Amino acid sequence: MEMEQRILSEIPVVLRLSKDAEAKLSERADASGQPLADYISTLVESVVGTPRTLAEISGPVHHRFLASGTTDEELSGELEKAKHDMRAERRGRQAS
Amino acid sequence: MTVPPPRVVYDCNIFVQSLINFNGPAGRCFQKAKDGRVLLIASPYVLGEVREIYQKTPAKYGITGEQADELARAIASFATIVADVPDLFHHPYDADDSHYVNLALKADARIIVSRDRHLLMLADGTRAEGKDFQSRFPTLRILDPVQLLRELELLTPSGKSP
Repeated sequence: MEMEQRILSEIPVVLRLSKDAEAKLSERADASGQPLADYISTLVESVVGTPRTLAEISGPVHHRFLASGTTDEELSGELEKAKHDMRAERRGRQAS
Repeated sequence: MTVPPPRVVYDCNIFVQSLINFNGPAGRCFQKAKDGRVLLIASPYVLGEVREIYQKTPAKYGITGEQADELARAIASFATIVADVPDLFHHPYDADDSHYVNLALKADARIIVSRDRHLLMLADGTRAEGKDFQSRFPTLRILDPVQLLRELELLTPSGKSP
């Protein structure tokens, strides 16, 4: 059976990342079982490729929203609270 | 002569709301950006908030980390990503909202779209903070998603792309 061969370009680049981003990137590469360079290549491919539609990404989330009976206005309020909770937690982490 | 699409910054919640209710105004704003009807400006900070917020959204929607990640990647695929945003403006009530204003200033964006009351209060010329903001940054406006959609309709009454 013939294997499809992709033609790959090699692009030498220097990444300037925060220490935090570097640590997270390494963690995620480890978790994926890929060498860091391969993991970064996968990420870049996914960014420049055609993204899935919102409906495809959302999947069951949208159905759950409809089933909940929540209005769009109420959803805004819920998300504002979520954002402020997230930021408060982030400030707590940065302070500690 | 074609009018260039307005440069806009979206609050992270516009993206999250578009994921949950993609048929609503936030979802339509997302689609306008994807279609190039507005030039979307984002930053690593904004994408970081999009990735992180799912941990605090109501459990009834069941948003996963993978979905939040994919949403952030989708945004990055059509947005202009701006880094090294300077600290020019400090929001008087919510320091974390300052980044959105500073991002807009750095990228010369004319519109921030949000439903955050702290950001929207900057658009209220009857308030002291709104007056101060508008005198310092007269070309920058804060709109909610419905207001942005109305403006885009006015730009192209036929509904066609500008």
